[in-house]
Amino acid sequence: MKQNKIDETGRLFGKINVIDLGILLLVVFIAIGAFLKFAVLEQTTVTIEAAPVSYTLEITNVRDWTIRNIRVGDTLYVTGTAVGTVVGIETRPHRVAVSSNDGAVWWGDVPERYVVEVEVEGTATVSDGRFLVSRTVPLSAGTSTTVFTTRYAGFEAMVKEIALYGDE
Amino acid sequence: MEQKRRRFNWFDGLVVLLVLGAAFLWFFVINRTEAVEEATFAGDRAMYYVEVTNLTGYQAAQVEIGDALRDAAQHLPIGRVVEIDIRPFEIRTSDDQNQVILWQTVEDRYTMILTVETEVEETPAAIYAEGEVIIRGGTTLHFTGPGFAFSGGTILGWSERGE
Repeated sequence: MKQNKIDETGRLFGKINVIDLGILLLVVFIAIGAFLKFAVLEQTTVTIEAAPVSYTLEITNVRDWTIRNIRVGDTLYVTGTAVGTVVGIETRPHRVAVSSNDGAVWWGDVPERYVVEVEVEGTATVSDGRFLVSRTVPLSAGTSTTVFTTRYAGFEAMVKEIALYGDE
Repeated sequence: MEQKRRRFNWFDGLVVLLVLGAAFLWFFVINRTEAVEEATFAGDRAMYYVEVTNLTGYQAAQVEIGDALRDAAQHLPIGRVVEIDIRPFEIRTSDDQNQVILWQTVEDRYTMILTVETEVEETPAAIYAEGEVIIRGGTTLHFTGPGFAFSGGTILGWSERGE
């Protein structure tokens, strides 16, 4: 008579439970995977030390509420990643160029509208020439804008200048 | 009656260890949330301000004190109106002769500023109204109330930052 591979107690060839065997195999695979990752395979990424970074944000054409909403000590976030702490805030009137009916162009301050400069300190790495603040958020000086948030407010700002203090 | 003797099964021990390891990973690695360093508000209630501009008189008269507001997108509660300020709506113009930029009121158009009181929940990165909707100054809010809906409102900020 042909003998069943799994007996009535669920043991394979009467030796080991099938579920126990599955768990054992899982543990063995995890152990092999961990060994290959940490001991055999070459590292694909190189750990780069994050260096202190300082950058200035410029927010234009805003009201006094924006100035009140941002304070020294606030943590800034970009899509949920903390990207630094506000260390300074400066404001100046928002100016616009106006073209008159006679063809002249003149500059004027807009009442109750401001330009806010926010100085931020954080950490960053450099990858392929890009500054990655908090290792993941690319920030560059120029005209492109980024949406920043704090616990209290959200605003779109341009990075006016950015400096890394890596090897000093 | 024969009593079955309980024996320690080392596979069961392994399973327990795996479960404990997964729980440890979840609590200390994956589900790591920072504690709020410092609560912003003295109590668990606070106020924020919402502004809606360029309204007709009829539109501005829709909201009443005590109205419960909801976020229009998700229909979640965001607080109750405790104050309504109706002001003339202004647009930017220029006086070319004197080269001055100024704000001029527009007849029959209004700006409505609502003071909304809500229960707050804080995390390091955000403040939630009624524990549901993130309220941030400078962002846009579409909201509804009893019989009205407004789009494009601007959250001015929290009362704590209004001083």
